[in-house]
Amino acid sequence: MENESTNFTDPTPPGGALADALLHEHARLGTSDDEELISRILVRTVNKTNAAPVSPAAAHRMAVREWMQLGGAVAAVIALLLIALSMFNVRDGASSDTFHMTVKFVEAAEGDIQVASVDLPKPDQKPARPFQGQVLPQVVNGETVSSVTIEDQDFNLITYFEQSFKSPPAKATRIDSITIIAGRSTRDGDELIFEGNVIVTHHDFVLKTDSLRLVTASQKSGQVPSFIAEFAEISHLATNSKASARKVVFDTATSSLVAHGVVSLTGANGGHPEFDSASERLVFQGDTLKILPDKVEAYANPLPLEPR
Amino acid sequence: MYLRAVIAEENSALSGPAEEKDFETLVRENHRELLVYALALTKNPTTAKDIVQDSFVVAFQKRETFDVTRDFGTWMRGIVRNKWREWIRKNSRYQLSEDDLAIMDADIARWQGEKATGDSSAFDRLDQCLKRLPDNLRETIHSFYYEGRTGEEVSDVLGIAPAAVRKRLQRAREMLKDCVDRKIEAAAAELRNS
Repeated sequence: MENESTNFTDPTPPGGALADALLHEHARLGTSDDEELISRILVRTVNKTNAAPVSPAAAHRMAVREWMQLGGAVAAVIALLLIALSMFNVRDGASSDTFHMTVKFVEAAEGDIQVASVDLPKPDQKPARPFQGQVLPQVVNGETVSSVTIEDQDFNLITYFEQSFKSPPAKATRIDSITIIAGRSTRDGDELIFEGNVIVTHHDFVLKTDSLRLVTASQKSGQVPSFIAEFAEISHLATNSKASARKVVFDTATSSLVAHGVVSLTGANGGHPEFDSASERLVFQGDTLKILPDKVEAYANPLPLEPR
Repeated sequence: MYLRAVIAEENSALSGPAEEKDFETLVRENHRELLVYALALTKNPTTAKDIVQDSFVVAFQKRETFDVTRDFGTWMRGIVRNKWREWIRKNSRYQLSEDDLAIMDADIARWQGEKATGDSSAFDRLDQCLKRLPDNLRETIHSFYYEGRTGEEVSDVLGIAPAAVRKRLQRAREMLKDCVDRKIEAAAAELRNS
């Protein structure tokens, strides 16, 4: 185990092995549930979107293979999204809200680059009201459906997304679900800003930060939904590695997390892989961690993380 | 806990929103004990998590075939064991004897039973038992497990030989396991009598 318990654990008696495992688990989480594991299980079971023809993991593997095969000849992507928050403001100073975002990708089959945009119908003209409830939007079969509770009034908000081109046969569909929990959140144009003990849970990683900007897709800006965090800590589940970085960007097109200005990197078993933080960036994608060259001028001599 | 009890309000087959919510309840109630089980089997936290996660996914996919008269925890332990055996085959790891596996399985079954029938879990019992450990054993356990030191580091910090650290850890684990089991057994007896 992580602290070399194999040298100090007698694996033979089953009771000793169980007590050893119980102590490790107790030291890790005490008596609390493992929310991250529960989230990973639920994403693959009860919260699995019916629109996905294959499991998220399999779909992800297929997406990676498709990318490699099609290479530069075929482009991706496209995106849809997202959050039908355009009608209302997110309340400042909310204690803790959970946002579920599901992004659906459609990959081009062959031929020229196909780029999709999102046509957002004009929302009904309703007076702006402070949002005081929970929003759980999901994209299902091209629709975003959000259940919204405002004060004691419940209603459903439905936003339709349509592609601006006739879609070629989709090679794969990948659903990325991201849960964001934050102390407070505000809206600024196409961006949602989360602040204070922000925790982002994805089936490949958990990210913690104090400040995160979620860029929502819109026809006006043509942006693909993504998020950017500053001074963030990343736990990558597949490689059991941890990293701290000055800037972390989620690349929606490839479902990868890119860390720039990395302050620390701890690999599996507590090792410290060789890494030049001034000239290299980390890319967490699926179950892999890659170290790639970065722009030197942008993040030379990164300062250590300031204690929160 | 029986799946039948959880889905008692459902008359139809296992499908629909109610069942999905119930599955989440079962995940919450069982995941940590199964993690301990998988961790004891694999000695690897990442593999243990993967096995538990994959086991719940298999259980969800095969829920139609689940015999509702059986205990859900037993069913899940069986899936975890199969996943562990698959992992052993792929990674050429050592096998536990069937007897040792049966003993371990029985212990986890008691812990799952404690969680399903009462408000406490094995982790709560461990909380109580840690406080009752002799000081020298408690500080060794704390340094090794809770401060994440290696055995050699614990040896340096406490100023004792590595062999003594090993002995203390072994002794402490035996005492803690015994204490947790006794508390769970006492709670079960009390429940039976009431």
